[in-house]
Order: sequence, then structure tokens, then C-alpha cells
Amino acid sequence: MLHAIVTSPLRPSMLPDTSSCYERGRVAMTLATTTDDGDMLAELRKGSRAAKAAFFDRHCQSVRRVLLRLLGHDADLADLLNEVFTRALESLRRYRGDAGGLGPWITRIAVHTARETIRRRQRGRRHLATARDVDAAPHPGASPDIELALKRAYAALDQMHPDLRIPFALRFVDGMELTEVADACDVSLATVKRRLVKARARFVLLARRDAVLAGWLEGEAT
Amino acid sequence: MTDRDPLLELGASLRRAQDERDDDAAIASARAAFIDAPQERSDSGPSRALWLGGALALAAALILLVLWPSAPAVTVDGVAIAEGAGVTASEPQRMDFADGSRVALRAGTSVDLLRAQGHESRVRLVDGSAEVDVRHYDDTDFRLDAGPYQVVVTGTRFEVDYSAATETLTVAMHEGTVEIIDPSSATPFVLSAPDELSLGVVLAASSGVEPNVPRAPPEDAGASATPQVANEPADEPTKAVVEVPREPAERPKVPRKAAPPGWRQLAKAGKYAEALAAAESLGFSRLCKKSTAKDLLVLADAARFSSNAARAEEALQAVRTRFRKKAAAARAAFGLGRIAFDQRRKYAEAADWFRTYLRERPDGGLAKEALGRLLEAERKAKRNAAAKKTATKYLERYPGGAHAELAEATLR
Repeated sequence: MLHAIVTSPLRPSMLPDTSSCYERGRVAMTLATTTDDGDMLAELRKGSRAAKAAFFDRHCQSVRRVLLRLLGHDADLADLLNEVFTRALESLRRYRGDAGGLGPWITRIAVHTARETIRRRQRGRRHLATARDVDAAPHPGASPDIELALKRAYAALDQMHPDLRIPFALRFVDGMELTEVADACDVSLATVKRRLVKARARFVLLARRDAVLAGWLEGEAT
Repeated sequence: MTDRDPLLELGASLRRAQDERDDDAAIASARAAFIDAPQERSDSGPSRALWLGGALALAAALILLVLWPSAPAVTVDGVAIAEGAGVTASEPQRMDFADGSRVALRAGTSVDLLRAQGHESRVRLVDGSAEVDVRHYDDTDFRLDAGPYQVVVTGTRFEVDYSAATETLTVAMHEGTVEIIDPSSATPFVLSAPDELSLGVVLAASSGVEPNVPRAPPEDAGASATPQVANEPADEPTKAVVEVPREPAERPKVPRKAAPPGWRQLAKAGKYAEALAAAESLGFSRLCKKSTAKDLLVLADAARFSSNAARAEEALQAVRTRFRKKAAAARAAFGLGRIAFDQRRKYAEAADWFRTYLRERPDGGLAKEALGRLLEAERKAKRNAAAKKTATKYLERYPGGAHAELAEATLR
């Protein structure tokens, strides 16, 4: 069934390799939702390329989002994305949920991957800002004030313990609800609340030492 | 829960900026790697026919370059002069270069033409004054030697005065940017319009020239960055001292030790390195949080002229953050663009800052310069589509401006 849909008249051989993940996501979603999710999971476990493509296209934006929030814009984003999905594939045999649960599950994998990355870089004494400090392509209309605030905010986050940094970024930058943060971090709600109180205090302390961030936190100057 | 949480607002702004980033290339790369089926590319390189065609075209171009009769590189009032020649202008004279650059010599000025090859030119200002107008191209390298100093020009208009007697150089910028290499300074001075700088040794008190006094004339009222403020008391008292006979003192009076000048006074006197050191002793970051916009702009200039780009940026960023809707914030944006371009070589960032200035002050005093610098930055950052739009806008508004030729070249 999956094979017949993939080999539709519009695309005889494989899923379209269109330029943007969004377009591919749209097409993949159209294909994927017409299939049996159990079939997709089964095909994924077999390593089917079509199923892998559908899986990637469905979840790449949410994984990208989590990585951005936790690490800031990173020169290694392509490698990190690939690492998350590869780990997910390798862990699939231990996954006991259904296809609908793959989203939160892969979010946890993304958080875990980001945490390892943060720790590895801190151990290697490589400042996270170094990995980030590329002349990346912001949106053409990007405000340089916001770009500057981004750099400074992540420089402050670099000085926080991962256990505080991660829930802080998910809550205050991504805007996740507390229960989502707890699920993504794989800890209890009570633990997340405790960590967020400490994380907020720590970030505010660091931000007040920075002229740019301090201005954001104090609001408009008279 | 409070109605307004600044932290959530900051987070929301950061989130929007991140979500708008273009990561399609990274996503595509990750997708291909994950699916493990990258497309094979035929990267065998150009075919033999293409190679041969290219080689022939190159050879033809070289032949044309050698044989094509070329216009004289430099003329003075229409008369060609060769490299190595010297000129002393008995009356105002004009030195024209083949690329459209001009040096207008005032009467009594002596210059030597050291080099004139394509867009690479070198002139020695032996003594006197000139107005220099250099056309900007991507490979422009125009250098003017004046005594021990060298002015490095990449496309600009400025006035220069050099006195061989006092070894004093004065440069007043009208458009564009120059670097001035001072052998006594570890790093060059980078000047942009509307800066003015004097370098040299004061040999007599009446010379009227203060050494090392860069000034950035104010753009707008209330946003002045000039260290010279009207009606402030002079640094040293000028009133006459009248001696009144007194009974001879048993012991000579110990004169009260004068308080050391503050960073503002030092900046006003053009002693920028000392001003910066004084500011550091007070806590530079603390000053950034407490000072007025005007003071912060002075502090930024002090840091910039002391070649401390990081501190200059910090002061300007404080203006942007703390005085967001004021004219000073726009001026700070221009200053940040200048630092990003001239010192950091971060052209995309520079373009964003110049665009910010133009958005906030479309008719401001620095608008022309900002638009020209924006064009330069967009070209350097390879934002070709944006550069074409900027070039069109520049030519509409400033058809005779210093960046007009660059704009025309961009649109070809």
C-alpha cells in the first residue's frame, strides 16, 4: 500500500527532492497521512527510504526548532539534525509507542542530543559562541538589535548549567508549557518548576551584567 | 502573574528571529545524509571544448590589453604627467586620474606622482592643501603620503592639509572612508564622513593646531557627539592673577593639588586614549548603564579613536538599548555599521546597521553616507539583489555622490 502511494503517477520513483523542507513536508504529510501509521512505523523499522524521508519531513521543523532554542544558531546544524534522526532510527526498536507519539519522543532525543553537545563543548573548553559565530543568513529584514540580543542571550546561556539552561530555553524562548518542558526534559513537573526558578534567577543575574540584555529586561529608558 | 514579563517578551523576540532564519540548506543537507541517498553529481569539470574556448578568450583579452591604446593615467590641467613627476601648483590646478579620481591642488601646493596603475594610485603631498575625490571601485587603492603619514583611500571625498614646517596633517572627511597610518600609532585611524582629524607635533603655542584631535561634528541637535560643547568652562583658567601684598608667610603655602581631568575633559581635549583609560577606571560598563546618550556617543568616539572597537560597540549598543526612540539611537546604528565594516569586516552586519539608520532617520544628516555605505556593504556581503535596489535608490537621490560610480557599476 505504501509502495503504491509512493510510486504515484506524479512521482514515479521517490519522494520529491524539492528545495524547502516545508514543501517536502507538505508533500510528505499528504503521502504519510494517507498511509497507515503502523505501516509507516513498520517500514521505518525496516529502513525503507520512503518511510525515512516521510519521517524526516514530518519532524524536521520541530527538531530544528528545539536545537535552535537550546544551542542558538549553530554552524553544525546539518550534522546535529542528522544526528538526532539517526539516533531516533537506531532507538526505534526500543520505542513502544504508536506513530502519534513519535513527535514528543523525537523532541526528547533532540533535547538529549543538545545536552550532550553542550557538555562536550564545555568539556572541550570550546566556547559555544565559537560554533555559533558564523555570518549566518538571517532573514533579510532582520533587526540588528534583535540579532545582537540573540548573540548576547546565548552567550549568557553558555554560562548556565545545562540542567538550568535547557528548561529555561524551552520555557522562555520556545514558549513551551510547563508540562511540555517536563516531558521534553524527561523529568517531573515539580523538578522542572524548581529548575526554572533557579534558571530564571541565574539568567537575570547574567543579563543585568550585559548592557544590551539589561536594556531588554528593564524596558524602555526615559 | 504580571501583565508584562520582560523575559517572556525577550524570549518571544528571540524566537521570532530564529524562526525567520533561512536554514533550508542545512535541512536539505541533513535530509540527504539521513536518507543515505545523495544524488550523484557529474563534477567532472568543464569539458575540453570549454577549456579551449576559455583559454582563447583569455589570450585575446591579454593581447587587447597590451595593444589597445590607453588614455594617459594622470593629467594636470590636461597635460599628461608620468610616474615620478613632481608638480608645484603656482595657481589652483587639478590632477585628473584615468579612473575619474581627482586631486584639486591649492595654489602653492607641491605633490609628487609616485604611482598610477589602473585603480592603484600613490601621491606624495610634499606641502600644501588639496581636495581629494577618489572614485570607488572594488579594487580601489589610492594612497596619499604626507610626511610620515599615509592616507589610504578606497572611495571618498576629503580635504587634506599638510604642513612640512610643522609636520602637521589635517584631514576633513566629506564622503566615504579613509585609513590614516600614523607610524607612532599601533593601529591606523579610520575616518568616515563627517570626521576631522589633525595629527602632528605642535612646535609653537600660537600654531593654532591641536594635536590628535579627531572630531565627529554633530548630526542632529540634541544628539551631538562632538566633544566640544558650547558654554562649558575652559579646562584651564584664563583670568589674570593679581598679586596682593601679604605679610611674609612663615612657611610657603603648599599649592592644592588640582583634580585630575575626567574622561569627558580628556575626550574634549582630544586625548582619547587617556579618556578611555579614565573611563575604564570608573568602570566602563557601569558608565554605559548610567551615562546620557550624548556622553555615550562621546565615549564611543573616544574608544573608536583609541582603536578599541569592542568598547566603542559597547557604548553604541548601550545607546541603542537605552535610548531606543531617540535620534542618538540612529546615530549609534550608523556608528555600529561603520565599526562592523571598517574594523570587523562583517559586511552583512554592517549593511543591517546602515539600513537601520536609514529606516530610523531617512532624511538624517548621515543619510547620504549611510546609503552609500549600505551599497558597499551589500556588495561585499554578496547581497546582489539588495545591492541593485540600493544602487537605484542612491542614483535617484544622489546622482553626483561619491558612490554614484559604484552604483552605476552595480547596475551594469
